[in-house]
Amino acid sequence: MSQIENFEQSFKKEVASQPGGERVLNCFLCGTCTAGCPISEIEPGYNPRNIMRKILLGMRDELLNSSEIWKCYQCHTCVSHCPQDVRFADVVRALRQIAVKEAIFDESFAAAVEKADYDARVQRLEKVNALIEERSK
Amino acid sequence: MKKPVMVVGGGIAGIQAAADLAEMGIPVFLLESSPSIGGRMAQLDKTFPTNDCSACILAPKVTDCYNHPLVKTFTLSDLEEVRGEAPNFTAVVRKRPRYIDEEKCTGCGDCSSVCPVSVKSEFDMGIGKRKAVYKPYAQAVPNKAVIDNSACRHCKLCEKACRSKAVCYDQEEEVFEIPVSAVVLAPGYDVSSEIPAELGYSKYADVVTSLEYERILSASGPFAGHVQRPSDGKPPKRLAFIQCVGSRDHQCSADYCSAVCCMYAVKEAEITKEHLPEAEGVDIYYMDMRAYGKDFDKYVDSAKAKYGINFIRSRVAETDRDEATGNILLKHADTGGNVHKSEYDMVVLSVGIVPKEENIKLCSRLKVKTDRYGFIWTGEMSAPESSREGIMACGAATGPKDIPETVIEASAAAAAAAKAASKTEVDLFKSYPAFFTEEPMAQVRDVSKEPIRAGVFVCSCGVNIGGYLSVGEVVEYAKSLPFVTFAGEGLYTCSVDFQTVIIDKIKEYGLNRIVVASCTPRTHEPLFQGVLQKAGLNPYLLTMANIRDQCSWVHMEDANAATFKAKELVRMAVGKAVYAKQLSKKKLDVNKAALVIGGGAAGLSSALELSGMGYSVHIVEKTGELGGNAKSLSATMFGRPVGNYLADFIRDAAEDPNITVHLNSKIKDITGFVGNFTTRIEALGSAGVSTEGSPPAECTTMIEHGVVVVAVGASEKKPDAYLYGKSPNVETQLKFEERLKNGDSCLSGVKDVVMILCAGSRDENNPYCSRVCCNQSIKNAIAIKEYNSDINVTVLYREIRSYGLSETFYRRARQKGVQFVRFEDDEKPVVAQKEGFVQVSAIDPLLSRDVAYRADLLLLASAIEPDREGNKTIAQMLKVPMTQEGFFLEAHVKLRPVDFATEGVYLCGLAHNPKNLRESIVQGKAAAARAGTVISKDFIEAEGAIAAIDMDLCVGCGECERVCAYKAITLEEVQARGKAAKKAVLNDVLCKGCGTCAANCRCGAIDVGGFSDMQVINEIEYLLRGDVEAKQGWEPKIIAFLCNWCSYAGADLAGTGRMQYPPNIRVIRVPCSGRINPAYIIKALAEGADGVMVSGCHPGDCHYLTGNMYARRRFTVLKKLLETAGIDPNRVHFTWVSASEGGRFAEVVKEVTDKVGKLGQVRADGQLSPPAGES
Repeated sequence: MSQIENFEQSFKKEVASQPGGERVLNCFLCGTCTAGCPISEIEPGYNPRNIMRKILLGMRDELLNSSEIWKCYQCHTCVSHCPQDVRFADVVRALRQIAVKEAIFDESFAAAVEKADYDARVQRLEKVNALIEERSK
Repeated sequence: MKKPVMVVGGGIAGIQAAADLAEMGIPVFLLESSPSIGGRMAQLDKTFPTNDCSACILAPKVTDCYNHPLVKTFTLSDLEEVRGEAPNFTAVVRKRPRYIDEEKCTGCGDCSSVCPVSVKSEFDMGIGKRKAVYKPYAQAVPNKAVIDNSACRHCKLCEKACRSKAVCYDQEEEVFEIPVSAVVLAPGYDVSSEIPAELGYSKYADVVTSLEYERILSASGPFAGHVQRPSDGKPPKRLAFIQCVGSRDHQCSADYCSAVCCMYAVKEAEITKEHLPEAEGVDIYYMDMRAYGKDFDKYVDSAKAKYGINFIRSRVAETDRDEATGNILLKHADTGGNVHKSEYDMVVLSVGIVPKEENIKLCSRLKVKTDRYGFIWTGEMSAPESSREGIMACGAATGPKDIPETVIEASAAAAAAAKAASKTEVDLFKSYPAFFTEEPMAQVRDVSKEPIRAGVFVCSCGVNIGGYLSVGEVVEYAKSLPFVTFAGEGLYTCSVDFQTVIIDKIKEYGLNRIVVASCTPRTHEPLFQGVLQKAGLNPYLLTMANIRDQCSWVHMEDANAATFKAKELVRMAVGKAVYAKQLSKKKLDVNKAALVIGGGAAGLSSALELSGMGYSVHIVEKTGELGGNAKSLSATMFGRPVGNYLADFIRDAAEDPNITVHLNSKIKDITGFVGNFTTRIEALGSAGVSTEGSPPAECTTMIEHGVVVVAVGASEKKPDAYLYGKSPNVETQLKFEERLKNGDSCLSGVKDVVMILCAGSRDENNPYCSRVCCNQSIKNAIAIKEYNSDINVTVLYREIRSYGLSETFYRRARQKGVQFVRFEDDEKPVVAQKEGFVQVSAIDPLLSRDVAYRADLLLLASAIEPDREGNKTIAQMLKVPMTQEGFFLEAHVKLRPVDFATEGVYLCGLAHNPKNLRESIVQGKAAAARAGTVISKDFIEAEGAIAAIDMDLCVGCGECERVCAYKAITLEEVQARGKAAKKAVLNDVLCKGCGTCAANCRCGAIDVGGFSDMQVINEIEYLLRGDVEAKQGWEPKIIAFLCNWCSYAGADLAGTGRMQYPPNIRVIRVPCSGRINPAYIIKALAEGADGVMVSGCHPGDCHYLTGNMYARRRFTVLKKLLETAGIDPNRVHFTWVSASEGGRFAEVVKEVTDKVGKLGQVRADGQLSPPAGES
C-alpha cells in the first residue's frame, strides 16, 4: 500500500473560498450522499464521500486530475439528504472551477460536459413525450 | 417544618426529586400535566444496559412517592406562574378537570368497560386504543379514571355504570396559589417528529419509531409483547434500526446528539432477538456507536457476540417498499462506497429527544432561560440551578440524557431546593390546611394478651368482584371459620364511608386480626393499614386476600369456581392472620455529620451542598490541596474558565464553618453503620509518607458521622504506547490542557498537531470508554485553532462520542478546519520518531490507503483510571462492591446511581465512572441529597417487616451473613449461656426484610415479620386441611409462591388485563423468592397440594439484588431431594415472571395446571405418588 504523505491541508480552505464550496468543512463523512446518489447506483466506483474525504485530507492533485469530479449530473439528491448541509453537488462545481482555472481541464471540456447534461435532459424529454403519444393512441 | 417545594413533572426526574425532598422532611407539591405520574419510563419495556423490566423497577418508586405523607400530587395540573423571590415564591397552579371525583373513584374500570368511544392511546403511542373514559395504563398512579372531554359523547353510560358515583361532568378548572420555597422543573421531553420524508415513516406502516416499537415489545403493550409488524401482524424475520433520525441533523432542529438512541437501539435489538430467536437479521445502521456510559461498551459487545446483532456503520439515505413482498428496502453505502439496497420486514427509526413545546412556554411564563433549542438552561458549574434563583431544572428537559443521569440531576435539584428551603420555617398543617392535614394518632391497643378475634371484610368492588362471584356466600363462609368473630361485605371497602364501618366494627367487636378480601395488597395495603391505625390497631395485624385481581377478574366465566376459590383465599388469609404479630419499627439515633472522602470537584460540591443544608462535613483529602483533577483543566466545553469557579469552590469550603478539611490525610478505618459511623483519620507527613510509628495521638483524628460520601476520584493514565515518555513531541491531553492554562508556550513553532483518541481506553487493559476524551480532544483542538488557525490539527479516532449537546462542538471544530480521520479498531495508528517531529500513519478506512501525518505535537487521549488498590481498601472498610475495572459499583445502575446497597454510603465523581466536570459536580450534589435523606432525620426508622434472629437457636455458621445483600447480618462474638460464642447479629436498620437469610438458615433461627414461617405454614394448612364443601371429582390444587415485586405484580397484571386462566392456583405472597424455604414446598406437597409453582423476578431483576439467585440455587438442589423423597419433581415448577408479564403469568398457570393435572392426585390413597416411570 502506497503511503500518502504529500497533501495540501490548505486545499479545503481553497475549496471553501469558491462559490458553492462554502460548506465543505461541515462534512462528517457519513456517506449519505453516496448512498442516495443515482450515479453511484450505475457507476460502482463513483463515490461522492471519497471526493469529500480527499478534499478534507488535501489530496489536491489527485482529485483535480481525476475524472470523478465530472460524473455528477447535478440532481442535488445529495443536497436534500445531507444532514450537515454540505451541498455536495455545489462542492463538485467548485472543484470543476478550480480544475478549469488551473487548466487541468480546459473550458471546452467543461462546456462539453454541460452540453452532455443538457442533451440528456432533451433526450429524456423527447422519449417521455414519445411514450405519452404512444399511450394515447 | 420547612416551607414546601414545588416539583413540576411527574416522570422519573420529578419523582426522584420529590421523593428525595420528602425523605429530607421537606413537603412537596408534585405537579403533573397528564392524568398519571410515571412519565416516559413507564412506557419503556426494558432498560439498558441491564435489560431490567422498566415497569418493575419504576413502580415501587412511583407508589412510594405518591403515597408519601409529605408529597401532595396534583395531576392534570400546570404551573402558570411563579411570583416573588426564593424562598418566598407564590406558585400559581392551574388544575384541569378530570371529570372524575378522585376521592370517590376506586379505579375499578367499570366506566371504561361500558364506554362506547374508542380512540388512539397516547400511552401506546397511538398503536393501541383506549376509551374516552380511561386509565392511561393498567398500573397508572393514581389509580383513577379520567374523561377525555374531546372524545366523550356524554352518553352518560359511565355515570350509570359507576357505583361509587365518581363521574362528574360538571367539574371545572381550578386555579389556586401556593406559597413555596423553591421550584424544581422536571417537565420532560418529546421524541422528535421531524423525520426525514425519505425514510418513509409516513408512507409505510412497517416503518415505526423507537418509542412505538418499545410499546410493541412490551408485554403490556398493544400486541401483548408479540413482536409483529403493524401492516400484516407477521413476526419480522429481518429488522433494521436506523440511528440519528431527528438527531445530528442540520436539516431538522436537532443538530445535537440525543445521547440515548444508540443504547436503546441496542436494547431493543437484544429484546427483539429474545422475542424472536429465529429472526434472521437484526441490524443497526449507525454513524458512531455512542456507548459512552458505564458498561455500555460491554453491552454492545454482548449484543454482537451473544445476540448476533449486526452493527453496520452507514447512514441510510432512503427507504423504499417492495410492492410484491411489502418489505422495506434500505438504500445505504458501505465503508468502501458500494451502494446497497437491503431488504427488511420492518424498520425502526431511532428518533431523538427534543424539548417539549410546553416547556418553552412554561419557561417564558416563569422567566427562566432556555437554550437555543428550547432546553432549560443550567450553568455548567451551577447546574441544576436555572437562570432564576430558587428554580432548579433537571432531567431531559435540560438536555438529552439517559435515566441514571436524569436521576442524578434530579437528586442534585432536590439538594439545591433543600438548601433554599432550609432557611424557612412553617407550620405545615396551619399554613396548608387544604393539602396537608395532621392525622390524629389513635391510642394503640396492645392485643398480645387478647384472645384472637378476627374480622373479615369482603369487598364487592362494585361489580368487579360481586359481578363474578357470590360475595354473600364468601361472607357466610368466612363466619364459619375458626377465630372469625365478625364478617361483613362492602360495596367498596376502600371507600371513605366503609373505612369508618371497619373502624366501628373493630371497636364494636374488639377485633384484633383484620382480613380484607378485596383487590391487591400492592396498591391497597397502605390504605387499610392506615384504617387499622385509626382504629388503634398495629397496622401489621392486617392480612389481605386478593379476590379481585387474582380471582374474580381471571375467572369471569365460572362464578362457582371463582366463589370456591375466593372462599379458600379468605380461609388462607385467616390462617395467616392468626399468626400476625404486632410489629414495631425500631428507631436509632442519627449523627448529623457527613464524611466526604476526596476533595476534588465532586467531593467539594457534595460537601458545600451538605453544609448549605445545615450539616457539618469532614472532607478527607490525601494530597495537600483541594481541587483534584479540575486543577488541570483550563476551560469547560462551553468555554467557561474552570480556574475561577474552582477557586470559589475551594475558598467557600475553606471558609465554611460547617466544613472541616483534613489535608494530607487518609482513612485508617471506618466502623459502624448508617447514622452512626466512627472513622479514624490519619494525617500523613507532608511528603505523603505515613507517620506510623511516631506518637499516634498527634496524627490520628477520630470523627463520628452519620453518612459517607465516596468521592475518591480517578486519574489520567500514563500511556504505555505511541512513544509516550520517549519522545519530546508526545504529551497527554490533560497535561497539554494544563500547560495551555498556565500560559505555557507549548504551541510556539508548532505547525502540525495530531491527536490519537482511545489511547488507553477500550483496549485489553482498560476495556471501558473513558467518556471525556472525545470532548476534551475536540475542546483542545478548538483551542489550538483559536490560538493559531494555521496550525493543522488532525484527530485520529475510532468513534467520535461527542454525546448530547457536545455534538455542536464537534461541528464547530470541523468548521474551524480540524481534520477528523477514523481508524479501524484493529488498525491502530503507527508512530515513528523523526528528526524533530513524530510521524503518525494510519489506514484511512474510506480510501483504504495508508496516510502519514506529521506531528510536531502528538496528543494522546489517555484513559481515566481508578486507583484500584486504594479503592479496594476503602471498599473493604465500607463493605461496598467494586466493578471489574476498579471503579465503585452503585446499588442499581439505572435508578440508584449515587447510592450503594449499603445504606448511608453514597458515591459521586470519577470514583463512580469517568465523567466530565459538570457531571461530577452534579453527582456530588446528588450524593449530598441522598445523604441528606438520612442525616435530616433525628432518628432512622427500620422497616417493620424485617428478620429476627433467635440467639438460642443460632449456631453461628454464617450462612445468613453470606447471603445478605445489605450487609445487615454480621457474625459477632456474644455471651451466650455464660460462654463466648459466635452468633449472627442483625442490624435492624439495614435489614430490608427480603428473608433470604431466613430461608437459608439451617437451624431455623431466623424468621421474618409479616411473612413468618408459621404464617406461611398456616396458610398452607388452612388451605389444604380446610373443609370447603367438596367439589365434584378431583381437580388439581396448586400452591404458587410469588415474590411481591415481580411475579405477584405480574399476576395482578393478568387480572387487570382480564386474562383468564384455570382457577386451580392459590397464591402465597412472599417478599422475595429468596424467602421461600424449600421446606414450604415439601410441606405443601405433603399436605396434599398436587403441584407447587414458584416464581420470582427474572435473573438480575431482583428487588433485593440477589435473592432470586439464591432461590434458584436452592431449588436446583430441591429437585434432586424431591426425587429421593419419592415425589415427582415435575410437580414443582420454577419460573420467572416480571411485573409486566401478565400474559406470561396466565400462560404459565395454564401450563402448570395442565402438567399437574396429567400427573394426577398427589396422594390418592394417603401416599405420595412416585415419580413418573417408577409406578
